[in-house]
Amino acid sequence: MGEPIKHEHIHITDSADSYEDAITLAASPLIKDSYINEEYVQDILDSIEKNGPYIVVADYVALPHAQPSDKVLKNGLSLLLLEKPVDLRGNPIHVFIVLAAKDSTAHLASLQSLAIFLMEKENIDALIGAKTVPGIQKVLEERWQTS
Amino acid sequence: MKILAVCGFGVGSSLILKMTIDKVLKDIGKDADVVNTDISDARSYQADAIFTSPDFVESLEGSVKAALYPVKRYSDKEEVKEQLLKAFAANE
Repeated sequence: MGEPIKHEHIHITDSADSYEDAITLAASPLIKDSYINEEYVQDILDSIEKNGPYIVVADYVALPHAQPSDKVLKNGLSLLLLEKPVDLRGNPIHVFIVLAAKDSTAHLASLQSLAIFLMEKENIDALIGAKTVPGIQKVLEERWQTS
Repeated sequence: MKILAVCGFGVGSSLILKMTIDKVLKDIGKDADVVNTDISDARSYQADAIFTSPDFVESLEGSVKAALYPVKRYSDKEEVKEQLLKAFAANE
């Protein structure tokens, strides 16, 4: 039985100076465990610059990701919760969920579960209200539907 | 009706948008064929409606025949529902 997001890939911090800093911090466990390299993070930041803030998929939640490429070594997700939101082009963000996907079909099942999770505002409220990493895991495990 | 859900890379956000559209279709008891893709492929698809971010609407305008329906929050069922109802009204 897999965890929706590995506990070592979840971080909580008080605040971030910028969304760039928040995304870099959110992605750091995936770099450390060799899921992605640093260039992938730069691709994410370039994409926001070019394409705008559409990665803000729900109020307070952003899904930073870039084009599948060889900068992604393994499929995975990481999560950063900010107690104070940071601005992403006019959108206050509490939760950053970094998506590392090697190709466009990889990771489909967990993305589908994530989509279903994010559609319910109460799930997002519960996530933002979680104070600890185990608290976040509990919210995900209880509300993450696998199909 | 055939609907395209479009994002920058066709990998993450557009799938989230497709899932939201599918869920809302079920809620309102309507049928449509929903495919997710990236912005460059969107131009080569035949579709009746394209759902995408306001940021992409501008760059798709003029290069696609399908009507464009901007959605800011890809997982927001209310926003998607509003646009879906418009799309059905235009295609019925």
